[in-house]
Amino acid sequence: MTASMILDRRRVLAGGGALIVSFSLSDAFAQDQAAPVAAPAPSPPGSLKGTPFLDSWIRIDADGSITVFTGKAELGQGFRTAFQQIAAEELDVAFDSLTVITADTRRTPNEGYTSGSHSTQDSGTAIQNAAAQVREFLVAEAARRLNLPAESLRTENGAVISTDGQRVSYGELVAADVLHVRAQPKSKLKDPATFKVMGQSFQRVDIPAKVTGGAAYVQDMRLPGMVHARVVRPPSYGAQLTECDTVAIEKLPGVVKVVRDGNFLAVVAQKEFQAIKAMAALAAAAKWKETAGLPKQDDLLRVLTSLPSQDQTIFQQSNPSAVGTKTIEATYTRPYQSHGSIGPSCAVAQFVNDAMTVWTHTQGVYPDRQGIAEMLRVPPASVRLIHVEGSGCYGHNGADDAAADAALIARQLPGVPVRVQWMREQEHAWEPFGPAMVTKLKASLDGSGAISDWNFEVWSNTHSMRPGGAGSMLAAQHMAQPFAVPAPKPIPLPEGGGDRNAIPIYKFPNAHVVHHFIPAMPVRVSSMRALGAYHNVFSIESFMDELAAAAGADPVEFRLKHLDDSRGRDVIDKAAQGFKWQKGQKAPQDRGFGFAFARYKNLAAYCAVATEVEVNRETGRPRLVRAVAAVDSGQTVNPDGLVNQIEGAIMQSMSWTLYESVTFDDTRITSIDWQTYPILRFNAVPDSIEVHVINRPGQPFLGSGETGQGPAAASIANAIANATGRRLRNLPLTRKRIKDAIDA
Amino acid sequence: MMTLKVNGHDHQIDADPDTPLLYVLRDDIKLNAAKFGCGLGQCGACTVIVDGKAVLSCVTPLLLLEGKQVTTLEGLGTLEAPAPIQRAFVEEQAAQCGYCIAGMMMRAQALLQRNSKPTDEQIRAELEPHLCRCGTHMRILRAVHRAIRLMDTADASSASQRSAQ
Amino acid sequence: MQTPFGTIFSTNITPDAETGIGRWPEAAFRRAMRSGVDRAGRHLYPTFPYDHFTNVSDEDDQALYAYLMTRQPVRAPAHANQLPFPLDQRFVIAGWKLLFLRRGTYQPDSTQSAEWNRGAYLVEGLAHCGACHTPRNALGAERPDARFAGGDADNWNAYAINAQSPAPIPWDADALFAYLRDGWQPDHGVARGPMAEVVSNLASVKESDVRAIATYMAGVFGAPTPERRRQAEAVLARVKTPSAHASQTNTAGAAIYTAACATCHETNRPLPYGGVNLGLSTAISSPDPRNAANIVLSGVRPVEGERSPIMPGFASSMNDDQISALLNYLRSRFSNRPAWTGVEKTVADARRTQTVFLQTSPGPRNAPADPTQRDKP
Repeated sequence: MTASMILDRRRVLAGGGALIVSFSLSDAFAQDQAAPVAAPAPSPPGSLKGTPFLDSWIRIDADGSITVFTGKAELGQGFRTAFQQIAAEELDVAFDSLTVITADTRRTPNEGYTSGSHSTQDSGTAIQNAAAQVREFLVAEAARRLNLPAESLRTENGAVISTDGQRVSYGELVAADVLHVRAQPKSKLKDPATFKVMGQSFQRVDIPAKVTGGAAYVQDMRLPGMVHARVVRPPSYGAQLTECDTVAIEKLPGVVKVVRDGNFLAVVAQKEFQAIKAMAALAAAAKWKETAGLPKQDDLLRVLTSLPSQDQTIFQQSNPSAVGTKTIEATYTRPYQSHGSIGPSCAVAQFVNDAMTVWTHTQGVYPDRQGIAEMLRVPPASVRLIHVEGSGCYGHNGADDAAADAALIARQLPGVPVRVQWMREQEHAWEPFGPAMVTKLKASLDGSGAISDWNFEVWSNTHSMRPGGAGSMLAAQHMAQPFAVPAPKPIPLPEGGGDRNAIPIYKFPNAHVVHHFIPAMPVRVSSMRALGAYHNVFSIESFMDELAAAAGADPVEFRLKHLDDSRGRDVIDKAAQGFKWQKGQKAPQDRGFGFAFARYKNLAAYCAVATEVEVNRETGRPRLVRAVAAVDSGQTVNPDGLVNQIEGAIMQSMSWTLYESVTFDDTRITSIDWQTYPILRFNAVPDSIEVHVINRPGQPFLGSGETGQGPAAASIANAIANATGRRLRNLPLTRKRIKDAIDA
Repeated sequence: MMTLKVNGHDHQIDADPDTPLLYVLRDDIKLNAAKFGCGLGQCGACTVIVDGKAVLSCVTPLLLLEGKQVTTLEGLGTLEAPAPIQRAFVEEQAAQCGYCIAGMMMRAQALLQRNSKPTDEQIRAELEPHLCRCGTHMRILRAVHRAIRLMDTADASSASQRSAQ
Repeated sequence: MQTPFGTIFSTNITPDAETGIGRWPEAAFRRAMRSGVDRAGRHLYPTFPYDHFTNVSDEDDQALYAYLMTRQPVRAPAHANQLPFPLDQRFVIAGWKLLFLRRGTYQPDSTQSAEWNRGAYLVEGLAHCGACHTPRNALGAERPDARFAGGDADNWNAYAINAQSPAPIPWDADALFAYLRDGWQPDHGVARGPMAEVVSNLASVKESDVRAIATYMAGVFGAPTPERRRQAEAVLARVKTPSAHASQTNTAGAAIYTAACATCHETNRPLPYGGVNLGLSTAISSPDPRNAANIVLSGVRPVEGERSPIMPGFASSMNDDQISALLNYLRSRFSNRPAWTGVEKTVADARRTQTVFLQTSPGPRNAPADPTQRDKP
């Protein structure tokens, strides 16, 4: 479909003026609403679908300065930089001449949550196309002004240039608020072979401030007159505040206010340490009635598989002629695991003239705004949420709750900016955890050593309890007039939650995959990086190795045998080559080699990881010696940024896989600091991690922030099995479990 | 009232003597680099240098600091004139969320000030008190090694300048 | 190993033929264990505690030999000892042995239970507790008249673990068992320094053996006197109701304690993750301030990947004056013993030796851990 652009010139002003343009595409986009639409219009790509106007994404001022808007948030993945690269490339401007504005309910598009590795796919795509279309628009306008054919013009460094050297800058062509035109479904994107900015490892724009003490995080915000608040959380889920003498607390040095609203308890002070001391005193003064309601921590397999569940067959494949001769089965388990953000959650809120502003590191400013508005019982339009970076969140941590805390407290101190900082123990105890999961696998091999049938069942809670809905937030749950926790829902496929990556990417003649969705949540849960994919890929890829061993086959060869997807095959080959994987290889004494592969969600980035692990037979201690990964994320925007993400994914997944489990007794969460929830330290860092990027110029962006977690886990598990001859299936694969397996 | 010397400047601090240095730096002096990660001495995000040695500022009360010199990341260098350790971390792009990085850099700086050529093993041992949840460990190590080289060339060039005079 | 006589380096006991014990027949190994003589017939320095290992049974010697000989051989030539003349002449040891070595395996006491005897066999033999916990004479031999009356290890004070134990709460078999098995005990604190490695090793020893050691040692401690019991009850009562204590003479120490220590050591958080109430601390009640100095300086390091206590060290944030003021305050507030003397020198020495200890000692492999979580992942 070709575009016919009708420039409807209502006003033209030279220099600092405005050019209002609207263009129509075809009948489907006709202004005349009465015209019948024959078929649904193709939507513009990425998030443009939901936010179609170009000026929602790109703004060009008369002085030529360019602002790019994204509804996504910088979480430390380098998006701000990547988006700046994308826009600079398609607009043909210098990288440094752009500013990127991120998630702000007043200024940026609503792109839901920064999650699911969707940012480059959705927002990056939108920005790329919007920028390309803006550039086309500017060229067309320059053509009109210079009375030259558009095809004879080119763009460079923020100007349109003619063959005879005439130069019109973007700022001269268009002024603010003028790009209010709908995006078209197709854009004239630049040929990747000509890329000057995209595909280059530009240095991250946010790092300089972070290494020189610049204000970079919400924790660094200091507004005039700002006061410090601390929440006193209940000791356990459902605890009721029975008494609390707040009078004495109000008299403590620096205390401005004590807030008590049902079970929500907080203290506000002038200085931060005064707030901390007052919090300790308030906690000591508070008496709670608790209810034991937590399951038995070592019994999660039985607990999860016996809770009521909604069972759904999510994949079925049948070929009766494929018959197996050897069948094996295995059960894999994962405990609750913690995001463990290094910086406990923080938010700043200010309530002025009936308008609430909250600065927060939430992953979703729009849904969180809706939740906070509902909690405060005010119209959403009166609440503004602005994303400011926090420390890495890796999913739904305490950020949204801290934002709600700040709003609730700020409302009681009109005009005064209130900063709420969670304590370490609060973040550990109250964040919503990655859900515990159980998978049961059964498969058969035929006479030729190929898999003839495959059965996979997964038990899991929901992997998303994010706000919208006030009831998702602790403050709203604990208030005197509380909001009920919303009923959990499964995230639909192809994304999935507990069933994310449950459907194998391999081709099996017979396959049957069942998702047992468990609504009851005795422990607070929500999204944690990779969601169900971490455990599902761990299970699938461990089991593939178990099958390969049963078939007497090399693990890499075995996977290739069952995989059609050519990009997947390339990634497997690349990782194997980089590792120098040899069929029939034997690892050195006390060491093992492992391999694993997955395509995140079967539609995002591909990742394969090969590892060498050493296991100390005396102690059981596993040590990652080296890892080699390969990743295909489509068109790579910033190769170094991508490598950084994969390195990080391997390290983080190793920590989850070897060490981590939330602990609790029958009433309280007991893993409440780094003593009781240990994570990776430098003594476990490997000798080397290599990441090979397979760039696919011109291909769609594929989300990569979560693609490494599952393969890294399985690769390490497979290496441990190779080193010890023992297969471990219950996460985490601790030193003691390995030692017990060796001794058994 | 207490005088606290931070980054070469005297500050009059009006805070209780049991106030941890971390809050004095952030709340009173308005410095950003030292971070609150746990307040328990378990994660290293609050690390600064006192009299040449790395300390966890969240468990160092003000009253211990009479007459001592405190150095924070801000005192090592600026955007315009970064110290070798800062340059090294930028050049290696050694950060993901970056929250743990300031603490890491201060610990590394203190190490390099007393041992200009540590081995990889010594660097890893030195960074033991520090947590990084994003998994940036490999780059952090590369950045410290890079800082060693940058400090070496800085010394070498200033030495040759001196000898040239 | 630092000794008053010089530095002695342990040798390679992997089955490497050249540099280890690869060529040793079992009889030679047993002779080394029994009599302190190597394969070539040379006397071994008693830093290899054959004065204890002489008690080990033939059966256990055989098992040890079998184990050692099936380890991975590693080529590692022995480091030369650093001893002055004439101590570097091994024949000198012959005289030492004549005076101090009583050969022969342990003989059980029929008046005691099987468990007690098992404990005695382990303690006097393989566990060689006395090697650290018994004072030595001028010639470096354990004093038989002062068994378990306290000794040294790596500049840590190995407390008296007999009736002279300085622990505010007397030890009994149950408490000892918990401590040895888990690495901590609510009325005593967390094992640290060289003892941390000991409990780390004991975590993988058969439970019945640890119980046996505890039973035997409970006997060595002896039943507490009524006076001692009364004092212990008073301590427990004080610990349960903490009160602010304003020191008249040591305001500096008091202020340091309140600001730097009380935030962990006076919470309701139970051990092992909450700091032990210092009224229960043996380090504070011990006549020797070294351990208190060591712990303040170096804290407690985390165990890789396992739930374990973490205490920050204050070597870099406190100078010697501050640590001394703090220690003197802790002594006066949390014990009813006379003030320590020479604290300043202890702190200076501790600072020097702790740096070395932290650099050269491996971290404990197993974690002192909450027993309810002990076998959890």
